Amino acid sequence: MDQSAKNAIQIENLSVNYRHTRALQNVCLNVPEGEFLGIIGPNGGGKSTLLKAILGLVPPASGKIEIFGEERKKNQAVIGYVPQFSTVDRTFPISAQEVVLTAFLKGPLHPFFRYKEEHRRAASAALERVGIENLASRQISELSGGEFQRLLIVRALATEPKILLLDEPTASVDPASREHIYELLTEINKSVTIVMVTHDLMAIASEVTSIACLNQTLVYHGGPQLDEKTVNAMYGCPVDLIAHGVPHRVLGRHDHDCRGGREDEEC
Amino acid sequence: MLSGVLEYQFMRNAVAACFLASIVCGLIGVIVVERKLIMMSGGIAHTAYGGVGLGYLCGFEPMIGAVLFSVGAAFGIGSIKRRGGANTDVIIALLWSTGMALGTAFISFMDGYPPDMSSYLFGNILTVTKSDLIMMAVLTVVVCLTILIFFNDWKAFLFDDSFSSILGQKTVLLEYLLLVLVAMTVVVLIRVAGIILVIALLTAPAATASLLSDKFKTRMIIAIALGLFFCFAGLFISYSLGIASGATIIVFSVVCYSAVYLIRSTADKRSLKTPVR
Repeated sequence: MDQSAKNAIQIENLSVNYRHTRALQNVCLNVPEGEFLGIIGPNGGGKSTLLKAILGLVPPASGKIEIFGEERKKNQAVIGYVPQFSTVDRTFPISAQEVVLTAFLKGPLHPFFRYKEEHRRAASAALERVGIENLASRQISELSGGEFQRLLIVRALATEPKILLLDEPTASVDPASREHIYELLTEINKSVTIVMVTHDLMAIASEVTSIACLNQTLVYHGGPQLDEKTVNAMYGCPVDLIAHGVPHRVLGRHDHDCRGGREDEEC
Repeated sequence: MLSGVLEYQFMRNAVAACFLASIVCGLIGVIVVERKLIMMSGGIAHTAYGGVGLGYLCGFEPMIGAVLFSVGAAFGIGSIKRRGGANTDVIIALLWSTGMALGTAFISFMDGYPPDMSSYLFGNILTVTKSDLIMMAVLTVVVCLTILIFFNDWKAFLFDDSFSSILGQKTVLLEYLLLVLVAMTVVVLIRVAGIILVIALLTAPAATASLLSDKFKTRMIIAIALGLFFCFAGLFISYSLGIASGATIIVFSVVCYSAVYLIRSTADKRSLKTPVR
């Protein structure tokens, strides 16, 4: 399998159940190295579940996940994760720099561990990269939404990932921060494969290199031009994709059938 | 006066018990308050009553029974929570009342005159024996070492456990360990504040500390200091007024928490008028 070597993530027939509900069904998805993949779909469509399955946070009911051609567990260390903003406790008594430092706690347990000067320097450098180094000593409860979201990205980057998974990184940030985050991701994408779950359909056309539409199963995977039928299949009803004052088009002008995306997606 | 008081063995024991209780309260209390595990701690504490009853019935040290039952409860809650099968609230409520029911049942199985359980329920720091103290000291040392040795692991785990688990940390182990530490802490506190009042002693110093500092380590240090203050002040008040020690310590802690809360919220309102940023 020569092809699999080029894939950062290769998912075959993945199904995930939550007790009696099926969250994902027979998902097959290949993410080539260097791709910036946007995953869209309705709430409850399994977007976050897919990320969690890739991270090993939820066990798959069936199917296989490979990271750079190896079993998920073996290569898990190359994945960085930016969780959904709202799932992290923002009242926890910890400073921005300390949050980044936790990224250096790789491995099972660290008895008598103390952060070294090199860790602190690396953390400062990482904070500087996204322009929030002046907030290093702030407690996270004092950060704005946009600042905290960037902090979560810094923490993920500090683990030096080859693949970065983001769960709605622009969900609750102001437009200026959103712009900043996309700029940052585009830059990161030069060396890191990115998979981003988003509701931000505007971003899809301009920022990502390909998209996947997920509604329990993979509805579409391909270029970032969505057609109406795909969107309808995914959301179950016509969705208003028109945004005021934004020059991107998400809907393609052309009219073609909703196929299963690329040929290699057909399992 | 102090030296006169300390001439009594029971007073020396009470002072030592205050020290031990304050240390575990400070360390575990901050974690329990931050992780919102207060009701779970209450459940674990009340389950211990079953162990106390079994100890009396079978003729072994009741506090050993308390350790066994509360650690068992910790594992039970942990494994049910992990499987995600049932509502944690329900499990806590059932363990809480089952523990109390079993304790009462075991006592009523006993022949003859039933023992006085009120010192287990409400605590009586003046009746702490030497063997109680030894057990409290051992548990305190275990709790302290576990927290201090793995301090950075705990901090990362408590802040964001899914990120920790992605980094390959032993989050399942830490989760169970935390519950066991809570169980041990509860046992240390039973002799001081009693099964029913334990939650207040676990919460009040930590919650007050959270109003005073937003740094994790500082909170723990402040909580230990406050615990010492609450225990000794409460002990002094109960001694001078001749009222129950456990109850006095708790009432005094809650009064202090409320005072700090009021002062804090007034101060916050004032500082709102002159924004910092």
